[in-house]
Amino acid sequence: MIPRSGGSSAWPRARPIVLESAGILLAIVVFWLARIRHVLLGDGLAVIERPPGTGGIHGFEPLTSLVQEGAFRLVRATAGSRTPEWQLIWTAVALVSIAAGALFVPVAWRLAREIEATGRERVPASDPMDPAAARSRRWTELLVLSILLSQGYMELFFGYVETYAPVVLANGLVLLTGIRYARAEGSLLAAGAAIVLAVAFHFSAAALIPAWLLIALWGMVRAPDRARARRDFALTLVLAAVLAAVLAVVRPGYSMPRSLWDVSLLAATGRQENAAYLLSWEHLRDFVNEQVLTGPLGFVAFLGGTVFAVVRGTWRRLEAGFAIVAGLGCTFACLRAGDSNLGYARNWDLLAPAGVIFIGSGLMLVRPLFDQARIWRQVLVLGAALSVFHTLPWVLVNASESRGVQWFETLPLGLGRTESTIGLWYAFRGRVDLAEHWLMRSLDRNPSNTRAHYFLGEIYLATGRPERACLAFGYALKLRPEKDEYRLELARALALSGRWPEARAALQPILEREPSRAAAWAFDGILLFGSGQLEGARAAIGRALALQPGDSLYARVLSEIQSRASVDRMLRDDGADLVQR
Amino acid sequence: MRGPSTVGAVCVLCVTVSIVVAHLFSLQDRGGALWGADLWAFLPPWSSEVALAGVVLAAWPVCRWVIAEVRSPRAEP
Repeated sequence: MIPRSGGSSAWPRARPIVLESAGILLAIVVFWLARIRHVLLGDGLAVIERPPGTGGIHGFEPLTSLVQEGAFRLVRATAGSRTPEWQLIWTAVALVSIAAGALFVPVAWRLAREIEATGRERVPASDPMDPAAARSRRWTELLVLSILLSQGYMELFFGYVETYAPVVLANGLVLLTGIRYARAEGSLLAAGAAIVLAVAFHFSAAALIPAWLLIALWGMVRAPDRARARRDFALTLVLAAVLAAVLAVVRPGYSMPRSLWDVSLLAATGRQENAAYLLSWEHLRDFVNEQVLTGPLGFVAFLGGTVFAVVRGTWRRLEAGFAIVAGLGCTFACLRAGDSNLGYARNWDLLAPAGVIFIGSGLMLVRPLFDQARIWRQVLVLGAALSVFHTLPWVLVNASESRGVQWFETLPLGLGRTESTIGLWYAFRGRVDLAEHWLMRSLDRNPSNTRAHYFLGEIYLATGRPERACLAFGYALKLRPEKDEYRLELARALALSGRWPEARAALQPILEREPSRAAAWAFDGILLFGSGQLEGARAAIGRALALQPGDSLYARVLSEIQSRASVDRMLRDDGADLVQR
Repeated sequence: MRGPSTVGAVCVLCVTVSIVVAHLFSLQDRGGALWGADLWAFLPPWSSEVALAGVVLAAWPVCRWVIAEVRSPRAEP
């Protein structure tokens, strides 16, 4: 049994470790039990379609995609062979989310202590040896912690299938290490490592770079130990360069600096956004809803705290300046973010990691407003109650598949995107009838919804209606002629309908444009085989094998052609695999 | 004594009222206009009532403090 008192006891030193370990374990249990039971939000449906790492590193979230890939390999190695791949992907991504959430707990605890330390400078100093004062302070820190852990962004830690959980954790670290350095308690290198980590997890964290540069510049120009700050600055740059080099080695051809530059330019100029939407009431509505959902307190606390800091002149203090610049960077990113292809509400997770910056900065900036410890505690109790009031139903709704779908049905995504996503969800769950119904509803709303056309085509193919699939893929391709996936599926549907020349004609543009694409030649081989041109089929598959020697799929297709296998079966199995390449 | 603390507490109460009103309004309107705040509409009504009671209980001491501050005479400069 661990002794609770005693001057020379190891308990005082062990206590934080024991408490943090208990907090981490408790968090894992809670996150797992109340984990999200659907993948309708964000790119969840796309994430579970293909194993992490398929098609190379994710350009905007390189480190997260590598972590998820590692988790997937681990889960696949430990799971039985009968478990479907999508389930393995779901589990792996969910475990990364939960692990990030568990690690967020101690970070939030330290952040809560830093936030509360802001107050200690204004409140009349109490005797540090006074146990009553220490107890009171601990309760206040716990209240701050409970607010940090009850904001809407926490949903990302509940087994959420996307890539944003690690960056929430890293954003928390950036804020914590930045505030500590600004208070001359930590090192610039720690803050630098945190910002490098955050950006490598997700480029959206680049919004925090100006805040880090602020403290770095201060450190190199004004800090008492400027030499150390300059060394830490250089070490941070080296760290970033090493990470970029490692990523380039792990994924040849990938350049993190270039990708970061491209995406920053895109975000700053807003070229990909619909200007009319950004200036509309819909955008304002979506922005407010987003801040309520990922908060509810973060943005208002940051806004109020910033106004207060400006009025009272406390913004000149380095930690306040750091918090304000960090929050303003996130505000800019949130205001610039448009509707995206998913629809704003479904894409809520993209902006959610900013929530931890808003609430952390906001509480720190607001803290000096309350010069009486009692009223500050009462305000914190109210803030915690309000946060739980808001975030509890958010977690509970997502912890139930049926409630999650019901809520999703009401989202104003527009352009038939709500309906097509639900249709895809039902298709994924094997409810083909419901899937078809919702995809048709999507097309009623928006006949130009290419996703609905495409997935209807998939359903028609899966249910033995290739003629209808030809129509669906044909519409999809007409709307998005650049999508090779649509073209390949159209060719497959035409072939399954027995329209071999048309199928080859549909495939032809890909072969002409990309003659080194082995999968397209293998596909052409199947089409030639189906149309009775055995020699041509062998030659096409031979070309695919020459481009990618030893590829098992192409070798299998060749042996099937030589053994005169059923072309229908080849189109359904091998053809579907080839489309994915 | 009326100062920044009072202003801060009043602001916190205003935010509380806004969020609670948004949640309550969303119980009636499921049209998606309040997609960031309409989660209680998908859960049993008693659960939101219990949670709301918790917020009211937590808000009461702050309200009481604000009222006392407003009623108290201003401190001499």
